[in-house]
Amino acid sequence: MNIEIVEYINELLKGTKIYEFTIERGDSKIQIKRNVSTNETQKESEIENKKEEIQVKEQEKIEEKRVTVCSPTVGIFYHGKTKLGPALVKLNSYVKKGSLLGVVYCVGTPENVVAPVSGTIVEILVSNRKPVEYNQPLFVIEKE
Amino acid sequence: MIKKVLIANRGEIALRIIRACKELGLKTVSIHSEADKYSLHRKFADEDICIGPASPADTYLNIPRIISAALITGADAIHPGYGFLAENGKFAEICEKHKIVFIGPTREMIDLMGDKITAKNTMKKAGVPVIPGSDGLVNSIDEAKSICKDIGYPIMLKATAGGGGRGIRVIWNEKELIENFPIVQAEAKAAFGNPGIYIEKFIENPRHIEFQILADKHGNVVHLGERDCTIQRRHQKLVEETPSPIMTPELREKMGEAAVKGAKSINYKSVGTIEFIVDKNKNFYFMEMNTRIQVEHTITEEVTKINLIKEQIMVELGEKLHFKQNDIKFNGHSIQCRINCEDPYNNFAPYPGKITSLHFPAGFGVRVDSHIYSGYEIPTYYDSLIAKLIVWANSRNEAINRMKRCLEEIVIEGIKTTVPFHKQLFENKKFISGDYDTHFLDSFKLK
Repeated sequence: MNIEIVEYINELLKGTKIYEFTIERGDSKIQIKRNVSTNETQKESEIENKKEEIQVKEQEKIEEKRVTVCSPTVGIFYHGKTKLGPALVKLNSYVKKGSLLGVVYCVGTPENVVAPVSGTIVEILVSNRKPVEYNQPLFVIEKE
Repeated sequence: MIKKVLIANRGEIALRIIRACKELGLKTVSIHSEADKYSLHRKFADEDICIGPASPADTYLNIPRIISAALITGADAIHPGYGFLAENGKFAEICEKHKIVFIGPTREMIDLMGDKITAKNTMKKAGVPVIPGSDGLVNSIDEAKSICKDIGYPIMLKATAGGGGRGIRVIWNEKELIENFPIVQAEAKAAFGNPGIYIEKFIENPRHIEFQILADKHGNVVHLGERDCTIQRRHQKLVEETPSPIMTPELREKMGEAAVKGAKSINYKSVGTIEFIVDKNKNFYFMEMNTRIQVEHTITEEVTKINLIKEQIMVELGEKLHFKQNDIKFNGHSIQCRINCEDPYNNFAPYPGKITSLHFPAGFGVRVDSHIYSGYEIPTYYDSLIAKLIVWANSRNEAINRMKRCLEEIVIEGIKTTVPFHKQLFENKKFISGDYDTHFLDSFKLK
C-alpha cells in the first residue's frame, strides 16, 4: 500500500466534512477515518450561529425602527383626508410625526390616523375603502 | 327578513343568542373588546370584530362603534342581550335609523317603562295594581294623615332625593306619623339637600315575583308564568325558581292577567318581564317592567319548553305567536343558581382570575349556561356572572336535591365563587320550607 496515496486522499479531504472514506481496488482496501466532528464542525457551527445572531440583531434593529400604525376605531378606512380625497401618503413617502395618514369613518364620524413618529412609509396594509376593526394595523413606518 | 345578527353583548348571554340564531339558520357576528380577546363568544360566532379597548364605554356601551360594526359586516339585526344597551331607547332608535332591526321593543316602549313614575302611572291607568301611596310630594302633616288613613298603616315616608334604601322610615300608626313627619323632612333636607317626601304603603314580608311576557306585533300577548326572585342580596338576585313556593293556580291567573293587561296597554312586542312585589297576604303590586330578556329566562324555558330567544327573534320577524295562553303548560319545577366570581366570605367582593381547572355538573335535568373554560382568564372590567346552573325536576323537593348534587359536582378552581354560599343555602331549613321574604339574606350567616 502506498502511503503517498493515503496522504494524497487525506489532503483532498481537508476542509470537507467527510469523516470516513473507503476505497477498494481488487484485494486492496484503503479506509480513512477522520476526526472532523469536533474541531472543524464546531467551528463551522459557531460561525453559523454568529451569522444567525447578526441576522437576528439586524432584524431586531429593523423591527425597532419599524412602528405599526393601527386603526383608532372600527369602520371604513380611507387613504385620503376625506372619503373622496386623494391618498395622503404613498409607499416610501416620508412622513413627519403628527401628520395625517388617513381616516377611519365610524358611522359618518371620521377619526384621524396620525403618524406617531417621523419616517418612511414602508408598508400600507389596508386598501382604500376597506372595513377595519379597532387596533388593526394600517401602516408601517420606518423611523428616521 | 333578517339574515345576519350582530350580538351586542358578551359572556354567557352572547353564546345563548348565537346558539338560538344558529338553530334558526341565521348568520352571527360577535363584537369584542381587547379584554375579551380570549372570550368564547368570539369563537362561536360566524364573524367576529374587535371594536375597542377594555372599557365598556368604549365597546359594549358605545353605540357608534356597535352600529359601525354592524354596517361593515352587513348585519341586518342587532340583539342587545341583557345589561349594557338592552334598555337604551336611543340605541333602539338609532338601529332603526340605520335600517338595522333592533331585536326588542321600540324606543317608545323602552322609554315609557324606563321612567319609574311614568311606568307606575301607565300601569295604574291600565288597571294593574300599584303600591298605594301619595300621587306626588306630600307637603303638610294633615295631607299625610289623610293619605295614610286611606291606604292604611304601615306606611313608608320616603325622601324623593333618596335612593338605595336611604331616606326611608317605616311608620306604623298616626302617632308615629305626627312625630316623624317633620324629622324625615329635616333629615331629607340635610342629607340630600331636598326636603321633598312622599308616602308609600309598607309591604310586609315582601316577595319578588315576576311574570314573563311574550308579545308579537299583531297584538297577541301571553304570559309564561312566574319566577320567584326573592333570594336577593342588595337587590342582586342569586337564586331564581319557578313555580314560586307561594303560588296558587288562582293567584297565577290573577297576576298573569294583570301582567298581560299591562303589556297590552303599551302595545308591547318582544319578550319582557313585569316585576311584582307580593305581600304576606298575597296582595301583589307592580314594581317595574324590564323590556328585555332576563338572566333568569332559562327557568321559564325549562318548565314551558319554549325557547324564549328563538321566540323573541321570530316575533321580530313578524311571525304570529304559534300558541295561545291556554296552550302553555307548566311542567315541573326549575331552579337557577347564579355562579359569580365573588368571594362570599368577603362580602361577595369580586374575585376574577384565571380558571385553572373546571368541571361542570351534568345528568338528567341539568343545564349549564356559561362562557368560561379551563385556562380562561376572567377580565376585571365586566360583571361577575360566570355560569348559570339550572336544574329541572318534577317537584321542588326533587329540584333542590338535584341542585345539591350539582353543587357537589361542580369544580371551578383558580378563583373564588359563590358556590359555597349556594351549597349552604340549599341546606337551610327556611329556604327549603319556601317561607321567606326579600330580607332573608340579611340574616343569613355563612358557616
